[in-house]
Amino acid sequence: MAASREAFLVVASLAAGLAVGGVALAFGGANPVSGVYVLLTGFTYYPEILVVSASILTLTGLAFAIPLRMGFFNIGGEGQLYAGALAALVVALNAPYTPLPALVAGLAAGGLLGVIVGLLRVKLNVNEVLSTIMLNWALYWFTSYTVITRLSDPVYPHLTREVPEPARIPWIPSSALGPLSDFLPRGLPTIPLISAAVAVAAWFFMYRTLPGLRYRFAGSNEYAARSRGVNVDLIRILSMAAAGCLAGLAGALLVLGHSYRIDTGLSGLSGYGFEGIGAALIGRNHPLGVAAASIFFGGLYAGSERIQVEAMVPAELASIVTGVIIFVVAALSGLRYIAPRLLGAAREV
Amino acid sequence: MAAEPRPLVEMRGIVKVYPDGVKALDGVDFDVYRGEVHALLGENGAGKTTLMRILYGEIRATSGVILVDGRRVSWRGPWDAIRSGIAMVYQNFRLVEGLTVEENLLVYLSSLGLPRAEARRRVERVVEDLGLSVDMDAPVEKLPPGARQRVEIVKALSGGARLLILDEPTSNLTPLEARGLFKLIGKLREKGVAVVYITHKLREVVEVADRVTVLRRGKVVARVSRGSEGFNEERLAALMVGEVPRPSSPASRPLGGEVLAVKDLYVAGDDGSVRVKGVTFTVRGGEVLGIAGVAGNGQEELVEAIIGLRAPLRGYVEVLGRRVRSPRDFYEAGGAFIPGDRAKALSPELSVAENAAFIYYTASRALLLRPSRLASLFDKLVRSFGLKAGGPSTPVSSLSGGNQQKVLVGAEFMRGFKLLVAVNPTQGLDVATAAFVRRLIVEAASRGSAVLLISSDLDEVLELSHRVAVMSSGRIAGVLARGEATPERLGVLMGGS
Repeated sequence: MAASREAFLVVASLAAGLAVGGVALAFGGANPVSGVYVLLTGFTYYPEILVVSASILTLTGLAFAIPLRMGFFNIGGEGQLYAGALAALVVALNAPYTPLPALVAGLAAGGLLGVIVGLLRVKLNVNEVLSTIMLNWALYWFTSYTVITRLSDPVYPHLTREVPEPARIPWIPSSALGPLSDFLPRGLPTIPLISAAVAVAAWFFMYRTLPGLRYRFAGSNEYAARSRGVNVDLIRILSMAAAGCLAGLAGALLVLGHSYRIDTGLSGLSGYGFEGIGAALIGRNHPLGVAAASIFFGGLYAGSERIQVEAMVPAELASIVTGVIIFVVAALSGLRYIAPRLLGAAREV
Repeated sequence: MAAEPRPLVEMRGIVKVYPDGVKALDGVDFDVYRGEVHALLGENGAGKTTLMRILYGEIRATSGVILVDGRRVSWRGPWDAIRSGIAMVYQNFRLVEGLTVEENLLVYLSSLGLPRAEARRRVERVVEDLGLSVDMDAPVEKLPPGARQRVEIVKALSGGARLLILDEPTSNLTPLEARGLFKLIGKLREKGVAVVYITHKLREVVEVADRVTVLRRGKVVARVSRGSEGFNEERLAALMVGEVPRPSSPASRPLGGEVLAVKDLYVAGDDGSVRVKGVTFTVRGGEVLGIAGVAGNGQEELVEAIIGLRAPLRGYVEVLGRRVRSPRDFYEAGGAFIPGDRAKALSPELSVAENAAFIYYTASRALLLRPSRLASLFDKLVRSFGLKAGGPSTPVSSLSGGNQQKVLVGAEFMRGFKLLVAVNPTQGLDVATAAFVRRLIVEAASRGSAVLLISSDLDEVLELSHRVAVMSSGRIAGVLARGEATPERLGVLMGGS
């Protein structure tokens, strides 16, 4: 009963989002029907965009969803991702033997930020929305500054030096992909496998382990959890630490497995942290739901590349359209998530 | 009552099917006359409150007819019912805290469209008619439950109520306040007000009702008038549950060693005021120590200190010789806890089985949670505790209060313990399950566990306890042995004299 209703609402909010996106296209002078069609099917031309952005959004989405259950609004996925990317790059440039130390460094950098935010909230009652937003800016400029002053490539001064080959995360070669090799002539980045493993691990933790049960319980009834010996403060801090780790991992993966560099404007990194919030809302904070929503988002990004070519829609309009779709879908999903709580008080028993 | 030709309110063939398919009411007929006190008796989940919420316009019947003064009515909401003179007084009173009594009354009456002066006149008349003393300037949150209830009744009557629905009206009252309520109900009867008295307490039915309609699983099983031969507690209990439950009582075997020791305990409340003032007692293995007292005299803080949730200002708590400094200490020493408020124990967002597992695995160091374990916990709750729920993954919030309590109590008893701290453990349970839980408590004690029972149900405390301590203003006002503890003596101690 609940599941089919749920599915209906997801489909309905997606349809509404696409309809509004169509209106935006028409406003820009394009044919809305064929435009939306291209938007939805364009990923076949850019499967790499789909795969990479879906993977990164899954991680940043989880970075929002995991602390949200404990009542934390982690708006800081963006900054934690920058920190992860920067830390990974620095380690990869200085110890270019295997990607592993750089991955760990990215994870740790994000995690450290998460711990700081968590401690500030639990110990000093500093609102995490405030602290994460401010950290986002601090980290944006710090990363940009470091990129320009310490890491820049003598040949391309707006970019950092490139991650050396041994420190990159290897790709799966096209030849190993079988029937998919036509779509992915360069092969498949390993990033999605890592993301998928993380999403499944998050699901396993939440729904198949006792600490995961305590975590979900503590998020919905703090008093009961405390009265049964659950260390709620510790879980809170750990949930922020985990969130930071995941966003940091996302940054590290981008640098080590996809872009190999950071540009001075951080254009290859920015946005993923915020868009992960949308993926988390649409995915209803369920790890597998977040992954599914991220794949949808990734498809839209790929489609918005294609729509520029096929419908001669300018890049800005394509961004507006995807933005509007995500906004509508996230708003409706958010409403759906919040509404039952509001209505809960008046529920009949 | 039958002298009057036409009932004030008549409900015919009321059926209520909830969206989840549960049939709460199955063709119920019910009527009430002017000047009649009509008790609606049934276990939790029998459909009493549902029936009255339909009459009050809060929820709609799936089918059936309501007649007021012989005319068919159809409510869009409670306001329609109130305009026709039907008012409901809930267990948890619905007064605005922060406002005075008078402000509360005026807010309500002005929402009915009465001008201020007229509203005041009506309130005065009602208060005078009933011979009540109501402090109009007192802030509502300062009033004891009994006084709040009187305000609710005055509120309803000034609003023109001809029928008052009282939902479990004594559940928050002290015995003395309950006495006052019965007197007030007598006056209402004289004034020709009809009263529907929703309850599961047999003694009260016999005490106040002119007529009783007994509901069982959504059906009327009997209507009995005062003076007819079935109008007694035994017969009504049998009608209500289908069998008379066996009373349980503690075994009188030699007690074991000291399990719980509370020594010179001082505990502060949330507002910083000292709520527990120098409490000392011990409970030995095999013993049930009851703590009686009017709610709000420090019991809550005492319990929280015992389970390690609230750090004491002074003194200490020991379980089996081990100092309790955190809930973990308490549970690891063999403690078990049933809080008085289910909302403080269960997670509404999680399923029945997940809630049960959370409780069952308290302080466990296990890591994995296998779905098969969840399923078997659920099966055990169904088999051993008569839990009624769709399945292991049903959200616990969709269960009735009684079934939620079964999840809580059941999971805790499955866990096993050496000390049980139970606050109102049978609250919201149907008579048969309440008797079952009491038997479990008695059995736990006879197996050598120590039990600390904090209950607002005096009968329960007296029935189960070897000794009864009375708490008043944060202190133990006295401890009575089983033989000497009578409701009267306890009442005196509760009053704090």
